[in-house]
Amino acid sequence: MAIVIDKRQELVGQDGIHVLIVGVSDYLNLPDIDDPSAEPTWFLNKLTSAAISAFTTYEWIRHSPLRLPLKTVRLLLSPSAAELAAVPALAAMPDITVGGGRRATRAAFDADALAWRNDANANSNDMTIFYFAGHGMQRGPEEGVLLLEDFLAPGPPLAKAFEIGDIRNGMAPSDQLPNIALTQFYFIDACLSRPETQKKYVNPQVPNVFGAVLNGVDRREAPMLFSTVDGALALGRQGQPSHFAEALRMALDVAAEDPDDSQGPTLWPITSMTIKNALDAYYRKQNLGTKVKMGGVVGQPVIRYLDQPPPVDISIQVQPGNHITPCNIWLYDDNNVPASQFDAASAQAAGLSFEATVRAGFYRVQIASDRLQMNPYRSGQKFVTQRGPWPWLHNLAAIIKP
Amino acid sequence: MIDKTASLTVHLSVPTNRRWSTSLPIEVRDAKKLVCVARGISDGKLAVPAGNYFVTAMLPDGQQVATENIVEIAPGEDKIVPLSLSDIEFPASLESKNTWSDAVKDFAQPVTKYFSRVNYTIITGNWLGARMGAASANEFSRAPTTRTSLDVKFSAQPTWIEITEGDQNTYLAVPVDDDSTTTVKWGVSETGKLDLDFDFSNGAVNSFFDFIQSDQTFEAQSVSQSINEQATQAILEKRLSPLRAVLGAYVLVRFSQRDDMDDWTAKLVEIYPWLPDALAIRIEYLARNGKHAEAARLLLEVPKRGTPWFRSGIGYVEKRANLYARLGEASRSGLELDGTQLEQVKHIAGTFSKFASALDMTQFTTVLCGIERIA
Repeated sequence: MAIVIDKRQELVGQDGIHVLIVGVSDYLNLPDIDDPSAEPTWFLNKLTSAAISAFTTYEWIRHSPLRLPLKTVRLLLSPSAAELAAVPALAAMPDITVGGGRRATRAAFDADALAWRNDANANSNDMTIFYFAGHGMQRGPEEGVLLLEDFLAPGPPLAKAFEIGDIRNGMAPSDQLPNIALTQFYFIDACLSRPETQKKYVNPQVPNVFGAVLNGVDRREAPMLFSTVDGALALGRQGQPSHFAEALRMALDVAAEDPDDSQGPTLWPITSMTIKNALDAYYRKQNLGTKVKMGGVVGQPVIRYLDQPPPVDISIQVQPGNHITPCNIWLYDDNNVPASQFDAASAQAAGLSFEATVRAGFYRVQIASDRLQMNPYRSGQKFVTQRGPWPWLHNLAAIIKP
Repeated sequence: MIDKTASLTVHLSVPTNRRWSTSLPIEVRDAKKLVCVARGISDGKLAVPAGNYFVTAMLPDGQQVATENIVEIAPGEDKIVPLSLSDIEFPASLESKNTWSDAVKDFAQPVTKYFSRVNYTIITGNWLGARMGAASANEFSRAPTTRTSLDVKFSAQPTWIEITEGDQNTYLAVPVDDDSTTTVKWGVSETGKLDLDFDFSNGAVNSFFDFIQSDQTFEAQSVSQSINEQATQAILEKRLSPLRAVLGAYVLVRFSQRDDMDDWTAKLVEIYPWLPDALAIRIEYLARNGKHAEAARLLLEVPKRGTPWFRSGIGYVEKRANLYARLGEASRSGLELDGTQLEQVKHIAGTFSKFASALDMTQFTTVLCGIERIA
């Protein structure tokens, strides 16, 4: 079994989190990353960042305060040689060489997924987190097939894979699972391509892990975040965590947007939606040309609370810049105090567009210039969070002196 | 004892005859804690405690328009807060030239397109029913066109656009509201990417659609909640656009806010038989509430109602049909499907599995890429 954290006894009677993390780079039956792709192997190659992505996600979860304490963490990894060389802590994990008990084979996945679900069925107030990094194939808005280490082993073509829907349906409350955790996060870090090879087979069957059952009243909040959409390029990076894993780590650190005081002190919750917004912002900033997709029973579950407003990277643009210089520009917070992060000199040098990092909150922009009919210009208030949109545009064309 | 409750109503001055000429979502935040104390829609009364607030209108492109100063609200006060959007650039409505009187109207098009290797066809009618044997094949018609922009008037018959390039077929749903007109423009870039734009001739539907399409989820939920509060009666009295209602239902189901939806999701199915998404939503609603026998019965109606116009509807039908197809044979499943019905469910599952695999995931409406030609 791949359990790496087990606090079930320690946390008896308390709410907690059950985590299952799977990362597959070293697909045993696929050609190396540099080898040509071929039809018999579904035009797929080994990967170079899936296991490292899973491992860094595990490391983050292990060390960071989530809304509830960790009860169990299960980790299945099939790392590539490059990943083992790049991350000593990963190489030091036991049983992750080929044949080891913590490799992400279908048999190991079956055992650990069932154990994970069994643990999650002890308390409906618990939370679950499922993270998969590896190859996948899209079958619909919320359906996909995810491939495990022994994909294409002798036998039916998809015998060593599993369906997202099987996991999602199998985690629904039902007569068999009356106490299943009702907060469930799913993170799917896979390029959900649609290989032509799949069409060769008439409805290729994927054996169930959980098996189909009819749910009872489904009050879950169970968002599924998919790293890429159909046709998008794989977002892996050689020997480093994928963009999705990197963005997810950052999101879990700062992606709060909407403070809440319903439990007493004002806290900033990180929810499924704010994570998605953060991931999209990261993808935009990196020019990845795609957006994260969210499916499942989305809801707005909270994964973590921050105790202060998070830092937000902002950009401000003033138009038409060349008509109002020289000028001074300030960013004022809601107490009418200039935000210390703003540097007016560099803003001017940058042609009246500037970037800064400020704490989330209300801000306004003030611009003083002799060229303005209404001097100084004061913008309306803006609730500044990661949502943007950025840049924050200020078009002063209408108030420039003739 | 002093009543510390109060209310405020935001009046927006919105430019007329633009894409979003309608009421918009409003946020009211405590000026000190920044906590949101109320979300709602402009022109609707929002209950708030007495206090000092930032009041902000949210636009579908993410822009915010806030009050110049903090709004002070005294206990018991019913305050009107004016907000001007006159400085904001609202997008224009899609242009239409209403010079033809038939249901499908063509627009002028650059001559170069006449020689394009891409062919377009307008399909009118329930092609799904024909394909699945639920209706006769002559219930849909095909009309080739050289245009890439159309006005589609409501006719209780679904309209789809077929784009054929070589042996590849793409099908676009054109959602049309009750007694209304949808303007649709489409184009295929050199890289094969589909550009698709709709104008539903209704600022409320347009802005709601744009909030959803641009993932402005807080705002989409505010609009959906306002729909939920008055939906049943409004649907009965035909005061609520059915297209807006299904958009709201998709958001509420997606965010697990299903309370109070039972009556009006049933009424949507009953009153608007031409609206395929009403059925998809109702099936998903029932299934999430554990009412699988009823959901399975409704699932059998899908071929008669047609293919859902929105991506989520395809996913819902596909997911439930596959589940019921797998479980239907088990005597203890409780699905109450006889042999013929189970075969129908399997047929629906097979058909919608293909549709789900063919969906363009970048579009909120249904766009099916690479499926068999509809003929």
